[in-house]
Amino acid sequence: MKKLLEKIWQPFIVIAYSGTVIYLHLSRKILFFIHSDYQLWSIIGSSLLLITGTIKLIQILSTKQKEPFIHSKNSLKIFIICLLPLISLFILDPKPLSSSSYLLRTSNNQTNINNKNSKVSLFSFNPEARSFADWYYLFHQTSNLKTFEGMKAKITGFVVKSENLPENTYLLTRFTISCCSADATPISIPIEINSPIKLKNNDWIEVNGTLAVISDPENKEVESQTIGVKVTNYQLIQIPENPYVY
Amino acid sequence: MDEIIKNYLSDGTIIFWSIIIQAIPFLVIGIIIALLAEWHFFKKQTHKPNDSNLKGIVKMSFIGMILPVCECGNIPLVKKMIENRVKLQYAITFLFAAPALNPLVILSTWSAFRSNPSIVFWRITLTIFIAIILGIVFSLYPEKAELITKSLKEKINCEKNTSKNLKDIFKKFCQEFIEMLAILIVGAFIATIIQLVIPREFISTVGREPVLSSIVMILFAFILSVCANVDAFIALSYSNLFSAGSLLAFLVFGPMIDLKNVFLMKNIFSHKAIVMMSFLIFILVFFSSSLLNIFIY
Repeated sequence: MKKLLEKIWQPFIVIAYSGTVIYLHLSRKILFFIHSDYQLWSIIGSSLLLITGTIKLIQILSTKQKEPFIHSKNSLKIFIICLLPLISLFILDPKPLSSSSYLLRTSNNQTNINNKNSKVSLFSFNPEARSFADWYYLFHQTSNLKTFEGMKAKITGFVVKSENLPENTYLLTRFTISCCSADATPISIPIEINSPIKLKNNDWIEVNGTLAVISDPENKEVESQTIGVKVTNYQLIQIPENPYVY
Repeated sequence: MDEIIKNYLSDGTIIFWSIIIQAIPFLVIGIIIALLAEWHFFKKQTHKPNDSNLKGIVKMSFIGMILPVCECGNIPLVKKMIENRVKLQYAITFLFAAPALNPLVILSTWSAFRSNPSIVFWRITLTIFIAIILGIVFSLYPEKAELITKSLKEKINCEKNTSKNLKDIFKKFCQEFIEMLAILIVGAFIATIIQLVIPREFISTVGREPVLSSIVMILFAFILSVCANVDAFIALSYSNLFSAGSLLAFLVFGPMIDLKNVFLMKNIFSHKAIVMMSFLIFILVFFSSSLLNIFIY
């Protein structure tokens, strides 16, 4: 058994990594990690890995000669280094970035939203069809916030509730990514909910409501205003297939 | 409290794996290109007369423009170059020029900075300039053998090193991939820890200082370890906070040196060489981006 392991550990690691990435694609959890534009690259890379790993495994198993055990001193170390991330991924069921990353990654006046594909316009006839990113983009393109007052909005995001926020105010948040979650940046729209039920951090909700100019809950020291949603109704939802916005 | 720790662990796993998943395709493609090049190209190359040093260095700085490999895929290719006795200074020039000069990166930079095309021009110019300077500096280094790892030296001295047929390529692929993967894992792990510890607001607050902004963006590029193919869009998102010179520092330094890369480079270069190269690149990027801030932007 030990001899067999010594022979096959390299193709085993290669196949395990390709299998893990392919599993993430099949379970649609890959979008928790990378931008959708990178899916094809990832599929090509993991397929090539799977093919080469399998060929190598067949080569080893079909020859009786023992494979030379190159760098034998480091092999166990390398094997453990390669194995630990696989174990961590299976122990911790992958979830998109949470409110804990919100504080670490938040930065004023900065967002990764390019919205190059968006044809969003302030004058479109159906504002409720606008996505979270569309609204956020519009808020930052328009200097007169009063333009939005009274518009109906339907947006989805996860809840961030910090101690600084007024009682019924939450930050509905999404992360934007350009490449992968390593470059994720949070964007938030404040929401006001008059409900006795308290929402928790990381609850994913879909809200319907009306846009209104409110005092910026994140900028208490300087009296500034921002646009927020006065929620008329909301519902808790499952984590969406694609939790990030581009 | 438990919930917070759980969230940090979960976020750390996501960030760590996102770096690995994003790097794997380019690593695989890079190793395949490197093994195919070794099999076909390098054998022929050894029969060609050598160019003069400077001509060869300049040539190598432009070769990246025709090879679509970013920094992860570039390292296996450079390793194979050195194994096949391509001059060290040529390999170093290629290593630092190719990631930012590959056609996909130029296209993405153009697409991100259409409103400021000078960024594209200066990214290309500074990358070529710095890569050539590094090539020249290391061509003058007397003890070149000190610059590479012991295992690589042994491989260079081994006559039967070159892949003879396609079967050899499959044999070597797994070994090459695992060597690179183990190092990538360590680099991605450290990058993740730093991302979970240093608040981004801290980086952008310091970045408002005109003198420090280039250093901050260099540091940010080093920590973020993001693929050169998309770093222009990340730089774009900081364009309202940082000067154009410091954005260029991010765009030029990142593809040359980042946390993940430094660990991958340990597979080729000695610690001494990595420190020297990183320091030189830091100084060159810092001064050139500061000069651009002062005189051009």
